Amino acid sequence: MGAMTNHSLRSAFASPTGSVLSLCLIGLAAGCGPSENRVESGIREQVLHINNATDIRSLDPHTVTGLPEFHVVAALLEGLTAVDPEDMSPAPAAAREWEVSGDGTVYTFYLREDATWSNGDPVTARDFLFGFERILSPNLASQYAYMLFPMKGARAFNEGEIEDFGEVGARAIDDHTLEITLHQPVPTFLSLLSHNTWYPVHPDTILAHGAIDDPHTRWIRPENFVGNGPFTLERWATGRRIEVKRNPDYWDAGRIHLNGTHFYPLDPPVGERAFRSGQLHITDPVPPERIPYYRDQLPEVFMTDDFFGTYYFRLNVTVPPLDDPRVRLALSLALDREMIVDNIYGGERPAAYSFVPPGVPDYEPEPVIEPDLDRARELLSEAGYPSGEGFPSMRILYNTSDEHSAIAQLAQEMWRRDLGLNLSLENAEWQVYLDRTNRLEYHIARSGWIGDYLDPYNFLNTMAGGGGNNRTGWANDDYDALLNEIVGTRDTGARRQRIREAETLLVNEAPVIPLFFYNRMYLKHPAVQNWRPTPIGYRTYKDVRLAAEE
Amino acid sequence: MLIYIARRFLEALPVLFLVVTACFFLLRLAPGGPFSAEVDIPAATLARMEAHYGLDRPLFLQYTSYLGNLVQGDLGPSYHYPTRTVNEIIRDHLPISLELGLWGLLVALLVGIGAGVVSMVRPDSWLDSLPMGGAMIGICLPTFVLGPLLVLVFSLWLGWFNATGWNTAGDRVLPALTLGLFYAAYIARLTRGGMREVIGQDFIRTALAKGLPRGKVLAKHALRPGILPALAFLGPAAAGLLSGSFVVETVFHIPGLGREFVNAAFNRDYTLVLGVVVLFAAMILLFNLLVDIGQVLLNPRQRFE
Amino acid sequence: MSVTVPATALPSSAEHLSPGRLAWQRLRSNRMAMAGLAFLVFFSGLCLTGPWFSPYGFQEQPLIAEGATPPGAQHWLGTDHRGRDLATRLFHGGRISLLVGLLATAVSLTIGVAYGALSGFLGGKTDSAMMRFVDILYALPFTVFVILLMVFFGRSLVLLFLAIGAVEWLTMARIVRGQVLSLRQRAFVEAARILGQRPGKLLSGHILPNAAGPIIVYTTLTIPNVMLLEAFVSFLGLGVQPPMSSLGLLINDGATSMEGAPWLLIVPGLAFALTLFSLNFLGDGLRDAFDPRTGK
Repeated sequence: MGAMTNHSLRSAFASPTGSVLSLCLIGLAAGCGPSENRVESGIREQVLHINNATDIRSLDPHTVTGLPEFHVVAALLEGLTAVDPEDMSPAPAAAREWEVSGDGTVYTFYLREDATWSNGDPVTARDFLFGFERILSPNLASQYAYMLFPMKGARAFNEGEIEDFGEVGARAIDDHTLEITLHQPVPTFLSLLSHNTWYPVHPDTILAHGAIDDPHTRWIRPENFVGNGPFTLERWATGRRIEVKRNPDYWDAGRIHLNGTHFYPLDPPVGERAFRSGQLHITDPVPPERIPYYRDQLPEVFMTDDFFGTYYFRLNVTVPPLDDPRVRLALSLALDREMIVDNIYGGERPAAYSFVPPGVPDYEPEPVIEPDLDRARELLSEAGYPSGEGFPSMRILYNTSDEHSAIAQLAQEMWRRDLGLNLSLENAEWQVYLDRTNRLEYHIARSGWIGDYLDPYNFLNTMAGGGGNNRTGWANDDYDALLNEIVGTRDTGARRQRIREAETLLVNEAPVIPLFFYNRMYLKHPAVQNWRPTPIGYRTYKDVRLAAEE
Repeated sequence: MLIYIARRFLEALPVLFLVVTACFFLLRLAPGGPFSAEVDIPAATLARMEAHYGLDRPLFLQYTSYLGNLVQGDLGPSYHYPTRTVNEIIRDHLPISLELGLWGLLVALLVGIGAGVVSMVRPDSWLDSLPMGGAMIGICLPTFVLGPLLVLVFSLWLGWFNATGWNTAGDRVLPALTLGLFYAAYIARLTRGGMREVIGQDFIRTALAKGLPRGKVLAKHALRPGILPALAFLGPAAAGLLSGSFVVETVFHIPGLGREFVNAAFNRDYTLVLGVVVLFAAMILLFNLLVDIGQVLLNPRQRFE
Repeated sequence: MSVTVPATALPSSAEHLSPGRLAWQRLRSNRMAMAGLAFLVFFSGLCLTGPWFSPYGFQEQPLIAEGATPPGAQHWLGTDHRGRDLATRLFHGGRISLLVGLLATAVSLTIGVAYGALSGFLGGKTDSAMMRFVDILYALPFTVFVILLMVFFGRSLVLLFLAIGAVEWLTMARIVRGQVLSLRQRAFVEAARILGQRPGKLLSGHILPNAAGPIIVYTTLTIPNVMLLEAFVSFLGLGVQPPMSSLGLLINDGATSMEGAPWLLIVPGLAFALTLFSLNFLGDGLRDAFDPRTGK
């Protein structure tokens, strides 16, 4: 995009408020801007400037927990498979091809001979084994070690029951052939492998800075980092930006257009302002208040994409009357989800009447329930609270955020107006919120889940009885039995059927009240081409190109 | 004077000790911990993480070993950023906050003293109320309104400055204004008050009676004693400029220590919070000392006691 | 209601009224201060009675998909993103903000006056020890302290501002101590002592009433500080509990949508700024009025 277009964009931004001041000043705007902004220099140099929304904590693929971290790690390291952004199917990455045994438990991966680490060493099967051993080491204390548990013996090794990594189902047949044995078939296994937990690390680099299972060494510093991904770590200035540079020795270097990417840790409103003043090519997410403006005035920069996540209320079923499924379902049926997403997100997020979000190739959401005020009131009076009479005072807990607050206020008002319930709100900062949901010290709590891999099971399993992510006190034997069946079923049709049954049971029992499905709403400069995010946050920067508009 | 400074330093030590002790135990009483996460962490994993940082030992032992390290200048590892130490984080971010604070102070002094002096040229006229009213905008608009407002006008509409960042000289202007105007208002009022008092005194009356131009009298004779009250305010102000820059750092996205500190408090990064508290407390004590010395130097009648 | 004059600081007998009356006369001639006072009376009046006359509830949401609507015939000051009447919320918010300001200030006033008066009255070693303690607290980084307080009291606004008031008393203590120290030596206090008045009576009956001027002035200047602090806490997202409102909360909400719905920032921002302006000008005016040396 050239200078002309940029000025027209800028004045388009400047006009809407119509305040006197702006009218006086717009005239000056065109002439006084900085000579070349970052968007323009980025296009010239093929450097992508992108807002990553937060300061990342670490770049260690085996200990990071957040998506912002994953977004950078995905540029620096590569796993056995990648995600094809077209259809979300597993695509070759560090492995050029693979074979699966007839019973679906043994996978053989053939690694590329031409793939190297950024220091020139070849990427070998042993490097992957080293990575698996590292993340499963009890002392590394990785929160996401469970991602490897489908592998035979992985769980036992992680929990210290076996100490010899040789007993774990992974071995190097030769330098470039890797065999992984699962303890039972997992239909989505190949997709799992694109997650950062399965990435290899460079053994010599790790060991040069500490033990294999020491999570606090400095190998992730730019001066030490060795990766096998399409980009190399150039600079990591906390609070400012992370710079990655094109890796000329990457096996697929010919496909990379970008010379580099800079990740910035800006809060959404700050990011939006930076985007408007030409400092960013992409900022994600858009502050909700600005959605209608961009959607209506600048649709060419306003983007929405699927995102594998659900926003819901948790109900503490150990507290009466929330122990009564009728009360819980009544609360769920009384919420006008369309109104909530219309009011807060300008209707840009899909209302949720089921739990598993869209994005799974062969499992589309189907409404399990339908909001129904009459039925909600009926259920409530059956439970002994006609028109909300006698309903105890309860609180809706949420962690500090304008968005959560607004959503909770709408729900509060709907329950007050339509069911006669007087609930109050309770705002808690993040750590307090976590503490209280963990200890079940709440009544109703705002919540969300973002899938780690594209499988409905990842969502449904959070509500397994007694599970650490359940946090509602809800346990249901039928539900847990269904979960077990899902794990053991290889036939995709039958598996889908079990998933649907489990989801239906869950949403009708209503320990959770789904409100809407997340999606990504972000601003993207028209110069950015081939930007294809995936619903699970995996990103490939390989094909991205910055094109000057004619 | 050297003895005075040495004594003040010695007095500062118990103050710092009390501050550290109070904050150490207060922080530990707060709900949540540095390793709480939204996903479930197995108890064994959590225990290992806590053991790594020695959080499994009795609280009092943790306290004494923290003090021991502190004396040697080691503020410990950050709990939130796994491979970074508090010393490193402070080293990375403090210079930026210092620079921001310095620019803010400059704005505060220039605008504040300027407005205060101008207002005394003709007290109780529009020349008095206008600059005073203007200076007061700083204390009547919270910084989180003033900041985005300045960005809206000067970077989004006018395009004069970048909306965020801390790279070019121009990036300093809006944050310094946002930060400085708040303190400018106080300094303006204190200067006005100080000048007003001085003007009533005999030597100024004499000078005016002799027919010297009022502006000249103000600048030459009244200014120095007149800004004394403002100077006394500089101690707390400088401290506030440093530690209070959180909002400005957030609005303009400046990688300073204020942001790190507030985030650390929310993340329960115990060591980082404590480290910054110690640092800020030490700096406040230092500033107060400097201000006291400055007051004596400006006011011959006062002595070091 | 703009200035709280606590009972202890009120002139207790007729002969002490004359300096007060004198100050009032001086204050009346200060236009800015009087304008400030008038606005404060006007705004607090609105906050107290406004919600009464408003046809809308402050938390009543019409539950419509459309966002905020600009000021118009139906909603004089427009509505917010949830469709709530802004005027009603402004009056409710103003009520809370003023209340919070007064509450925290009252706490700081009580502690500061008691501590300062005691320190000044006792004098000697006790005095210097008590003042050293104040110095120590001064060295605490204030923002740091507020954040620590929020971590603890985040759930309860009243507790939080009680705590803030408990920190804000330092300057008040210093001022009062200075006053008491100088008043102690004055002839009328000496006379009362010789006449056999008990120390407590001496302090409350003779010394404090004469220190009322500076106390009132500083009180007026503490309220805006606390209100700013409330705004800061709202910025961090830890202020009053929605759907209640406060000026700080309204301004923070408005600041995020200053372009799409500028009235959401302008209306509460103006009310907030004018209140703070008024309090500051009134404080300045009171200072000039109580301090004869600065007379024209």
